[in-house]
Amino acid sequence: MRKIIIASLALLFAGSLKAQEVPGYLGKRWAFTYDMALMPTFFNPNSSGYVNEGESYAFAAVPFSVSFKHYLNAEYAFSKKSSVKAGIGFFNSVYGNNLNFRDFFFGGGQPPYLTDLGSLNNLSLHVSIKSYREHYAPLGAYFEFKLGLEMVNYGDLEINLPATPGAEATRQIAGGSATGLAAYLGWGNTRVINDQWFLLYGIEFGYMYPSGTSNNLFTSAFDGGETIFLDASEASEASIQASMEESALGRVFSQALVNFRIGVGILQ
Amino acid sequence: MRKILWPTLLVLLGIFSANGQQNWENYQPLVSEGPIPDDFTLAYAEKFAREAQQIDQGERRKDRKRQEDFYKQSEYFLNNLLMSGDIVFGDTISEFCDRVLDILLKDEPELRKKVRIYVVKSPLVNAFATNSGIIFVNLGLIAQVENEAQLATVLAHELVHYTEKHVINEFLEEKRVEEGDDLFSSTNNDDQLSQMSNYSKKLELEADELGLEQFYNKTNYSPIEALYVMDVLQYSYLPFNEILFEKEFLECGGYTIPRSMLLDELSPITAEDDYDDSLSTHPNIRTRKKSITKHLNLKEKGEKYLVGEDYFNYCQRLARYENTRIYLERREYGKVVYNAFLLEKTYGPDRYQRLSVAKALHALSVYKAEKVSYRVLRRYQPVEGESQQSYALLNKFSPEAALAIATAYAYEYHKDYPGDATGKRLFEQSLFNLVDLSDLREEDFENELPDTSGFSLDSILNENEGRSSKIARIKTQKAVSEELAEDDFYKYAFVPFLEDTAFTNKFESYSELADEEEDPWAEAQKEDEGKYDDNKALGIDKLVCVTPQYLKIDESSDDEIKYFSSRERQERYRYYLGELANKVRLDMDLADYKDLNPTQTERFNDISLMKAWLFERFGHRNYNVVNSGHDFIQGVLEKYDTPYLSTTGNLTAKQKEDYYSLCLSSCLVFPIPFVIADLAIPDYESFNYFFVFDVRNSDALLAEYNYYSSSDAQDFIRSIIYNNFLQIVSTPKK
Repeated sequence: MRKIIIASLALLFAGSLKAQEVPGYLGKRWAFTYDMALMPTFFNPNSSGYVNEGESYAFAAVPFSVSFKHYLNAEYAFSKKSSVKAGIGFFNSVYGNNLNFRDFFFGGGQPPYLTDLGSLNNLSLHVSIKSYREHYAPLGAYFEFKLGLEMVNYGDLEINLPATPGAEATRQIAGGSATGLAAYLGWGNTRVINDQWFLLYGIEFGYMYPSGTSNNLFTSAFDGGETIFLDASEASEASIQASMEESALGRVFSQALVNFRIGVGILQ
Repeated sequence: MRKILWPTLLVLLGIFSANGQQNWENYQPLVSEGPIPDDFTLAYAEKFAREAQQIDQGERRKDRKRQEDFYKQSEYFLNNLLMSGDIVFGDTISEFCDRVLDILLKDEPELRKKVRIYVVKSPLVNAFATNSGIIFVNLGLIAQVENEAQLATVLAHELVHYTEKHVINEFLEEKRVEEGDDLFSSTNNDDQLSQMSNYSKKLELEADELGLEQFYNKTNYSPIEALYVMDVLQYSYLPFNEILFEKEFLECGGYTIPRSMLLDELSPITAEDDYDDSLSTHPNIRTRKKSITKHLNLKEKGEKYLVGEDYFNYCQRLARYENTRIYLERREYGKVVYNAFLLEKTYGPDRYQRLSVAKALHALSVYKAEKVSYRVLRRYQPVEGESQQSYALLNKFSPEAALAIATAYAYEYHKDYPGDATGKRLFEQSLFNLVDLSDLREEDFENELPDTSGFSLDSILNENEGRSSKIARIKTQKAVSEELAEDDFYKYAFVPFLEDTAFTNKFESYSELADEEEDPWAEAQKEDEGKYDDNKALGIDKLVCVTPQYLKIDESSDDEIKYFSSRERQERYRYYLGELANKVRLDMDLADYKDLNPTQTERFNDISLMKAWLFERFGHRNYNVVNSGHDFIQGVLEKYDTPYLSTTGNLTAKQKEDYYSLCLSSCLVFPIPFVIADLAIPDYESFNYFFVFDVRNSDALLAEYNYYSSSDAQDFIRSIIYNNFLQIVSTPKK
């Protein structure tokens, strides 16, 4: 973590040394921005409405929604047509909706289900280099190549086992954390309003490794999900946790795939 | 009495000082004099509003719209013409034309007040009138008409174009034909062209006839001259005189141009008076003569001159001298040489003509050496008349010959006028070009005239024994010229100079310089490689920026130019330039006609000269040519205390949507969102330029071209301007 921060600062510093005669925008070479990454989904992976329905094998999916990831960036124009950018990104969500549970008693009754989806938060650190096609950085149409360190914290899960003979039982599985590396390619445009305010919009495509078990964003949360047999030998705490991590990483991976970026900022 | 006397004297003094006699030896460019007329200072929007008041609100909406379009377009282009730098007011020639107009309109005081005359610095034989009462007279017309009465005929013709509103009527007729109104609804393209041509010819004949009836015949000008002026128009494509070109005009130093380079026969003059005019805007000359004859009483005798013959001749000489300068600016070097030859034959030799020829030969030699002489010298084959000989010679000079001739000519001029800095500059640059653009070195040139014994030159010399050495030399050279090969004659160019240490020292030092820098351009390119992203650092803190240009185009509309928007954006652009220059602490003098008040005529002239200099400089691209306006611009820029001249502009075009491709691509499902987005977002193409020149050596210090596929929004424009200014003021790293 410290190394990444140092590397980012070194990159910005190296850029600033080179930028002796760089115009920036009217001499302003720094842009501090907040921007949102919007991921459109046709079946919302954040949805938790179906998991509490005891017989919801055919759950009620939320049809379309937009998931957000927030970014805070500092961008520095180090040449006429290029800039470097460093920043953090974060989003809070849920995970676990692609975990399917089975047990021995399932045949005659309800399958096991989660009391609630697990909480998930992602923090990413990224550095990128942006190339401006026609105007002087940081203005106009750009191409961006970004590398990010994606850190995921995923919360505990509680599994209900309604079909188990006797009293309704629950099983608690502890959450954890995971890390991935992501690379992004972005295209967009930035504009300056009143020589001061910064507006950006664009599209970004990313890929993260490891990719986990992804939700299928465009059809159903259950499609392609992982099935966990609670009564089998592999239903140990560790193996369920591994599936949870896969699910959490998959959620972050999904968020990285396609994003529309809209941001505002200030030039300095 | 005293009350009247003093103002009269002052007025007379004013006239004489304003129209001071031209010193032909040191000819100075034609400039405007007196207060700047409203036509030059009123804003476009105001002019349009003034003219648009004439639209009759009772007419059909369609007709009102067409008239509005006419005023929008005509005032826009008129404004551009007035601010082109090519228009002169209040000068001797304009005043002469004004006096002729006074005579033509002596019975029409109200009309006289409305009509203004300006001179156009163009060698074309032409005059034209605008709908708002301005008559433009080209210098070419003044240079070629034979007398004042002929000029009066042309002015009378133009007056009718104004009084009868021919310009707007022709525009409206054109629209009616194009848009298929009434009778024209079923016409094809050929019919339309023919219809428009016929209408135009009808108006021209009307202008001829009414001009005579309403104005010319009421004066005491000679009727026959109204007919003779048609001959002037018929042969107007030829120079102002037809005199056999003598090759000696281009000889100097030690070389003699071989006679074998001369054409044995010249192309005859082919102009006829009954050419096919079916698609012309003007009737042919025979038709016009016939029509004119009906309205003239040729038995009556009149005067060729009413204002004054001397005054006319003075103006004509002025126009002819100025034309040489204009040909130089336009890089028409064949015309420069022949025009200078005619001037020498007509008015006697003078310094100005020699300098003009030196400039032309210098520039032409560079274009020859760069193998692009076709850009500045037309082929001699289509040229008609006596001037063809001069074109043939210039065409036949090899690059080496051209370089040597330019150097010898410039050096001889420099020796005769050592105080003339331009002569010195021309010589030095020509000599440098000789060693830089060719492999020629001092040892390649002969240092004495050829051995003439082989072709019995001795006998010629013996014959002339006892005569002056000059005569002997001429005789010798003439004999030599018969024998020399076309390829070698230039090697004798420096015979008289090779014992001149000033010449040989320069030759030696430039040769060493050229040998050291094998290819200065390649060196410079190598330095620039990989640095495209870097900014320049010129370290300039003061410059003059001449008339920023701005144009907005909408390709999807019928009338592509956005007239009002262009003007508004131009104002905004000028504001940004001023504001951002302050921001980077650049002392920029924005020299623009728009900011002038009526008393700033000197600045008006300065701007015109700067524009002319820039016009020529752009033509020379990267070629190492001394600008012909070198001598004039130095003085102008001294006033502004900077040698740096710049110009800038922006063009933005809204693209026409390609609906066919869009429809085709929308047949597939996937691209539909993109198709919708493409339809919703207009496509723009923009181009911004900024140039900075050092007028001392014509170097382009900054040549920024910015193409961008976006609109001319504030942030884009400001960003570009700022970067240009940053490059100008940044101090170079040591």
